[in-house]
Amino acid sequence: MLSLNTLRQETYANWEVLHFCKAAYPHALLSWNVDDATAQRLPYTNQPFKTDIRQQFGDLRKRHTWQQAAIYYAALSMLCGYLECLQILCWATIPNYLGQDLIMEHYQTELHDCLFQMPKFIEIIKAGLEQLYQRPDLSEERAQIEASRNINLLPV
Amino acid sequence: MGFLDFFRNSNRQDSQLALFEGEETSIIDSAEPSRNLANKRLMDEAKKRGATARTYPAINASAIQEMLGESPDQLYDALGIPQSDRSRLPQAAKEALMVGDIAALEQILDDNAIGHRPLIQSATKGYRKAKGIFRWNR
Repeated sequence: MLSLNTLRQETYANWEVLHFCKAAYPHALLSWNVDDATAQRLPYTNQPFKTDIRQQFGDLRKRHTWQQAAIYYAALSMLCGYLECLQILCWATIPNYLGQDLIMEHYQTELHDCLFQMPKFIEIIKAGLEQLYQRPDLSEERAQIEASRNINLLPV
Repeated sequence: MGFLDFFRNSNRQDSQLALFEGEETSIIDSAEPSRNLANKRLMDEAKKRGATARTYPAINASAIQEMLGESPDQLYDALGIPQSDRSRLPQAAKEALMVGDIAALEQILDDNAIGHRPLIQSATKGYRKAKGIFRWNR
C-alpha cells in the first residue's frame, strides 16, 4: 500500500506534468528546475494545487481523497501528454513500459476504470491497435501485449 | 578525436560484441535512422535511467514547445489533426522533432541524468541547443 506522502507526491507530479503539457503555469517553479528539497515540499506548499484537489476530491487529510486524485491525474496526464496512440496503449497494457508507474502498479483496476470513462480513450486505443498491427518495427510490443492478459480489458 | 575514435571505443565496451572477440571484422549496426527510431531510443534510454511513466510525456511536451515554438494544444488545434497522431504533422515539423530527440538523447548521455527531474531538465537543455538551427525559432 502506498503511503499518504507517496500518493501526494505522485498526484503532484502528474498534476504538474499535465499543466506543463497544456503550457499552463502550475503556480510554482517547475519541480525539475529547483533543488530536491524544494521539489519535495511543492505538494505541500503549492496553494492552487491544494485548492484544486480539495474542490475536486474533498478533505486533504483523508487517504481516500489522495487515492482518487492520484488515479485521476495519472489517467489525465497520460491522455493529455501528446503521446502517440500506440505509446498510450502500451503504457496501459505493458507493465512499466514508459518507466516506473506506482499508480498503475497499485491501482491498475481503478486506473483502467478511470481511463475508460475519459472520452478520448476508446478512440486512442483503437488507433493504437491499428498502429500496432501495421508497423513492422513493433513486433516486440505486439508480442508483449498479446502475452499480457490485459488485452482482455480492451474492446477488440 | 572524431567519430571513428568514439565508434571504436564504444564498440569495445559493447558486451554483445565480446562474443566476436578475436575476429578482425567489426560489426556495424547499419539500421537506418528514422523519426520513430530516434523517439524510441530516447524513450528507452530515459527508461533505463530511472524515468517514471510521467517523465516521457513531459519530455515530449518539451520537444514540441522548444523545437516548434508552439504549445502542443495550439499546434494540433491550428493544424486540425488529432492530438495523438504525430505522423500527420507536416514533414518539416517531424524533422525538427527528430533532430530534437537526437539532441535530447545526447544531452542526457552527456549529463548522465538519472531520475524523473534530471531527465526532463537535460532533455529540455538538449532541445534548446538544437532549436536554433530552424528558421522559425529565430
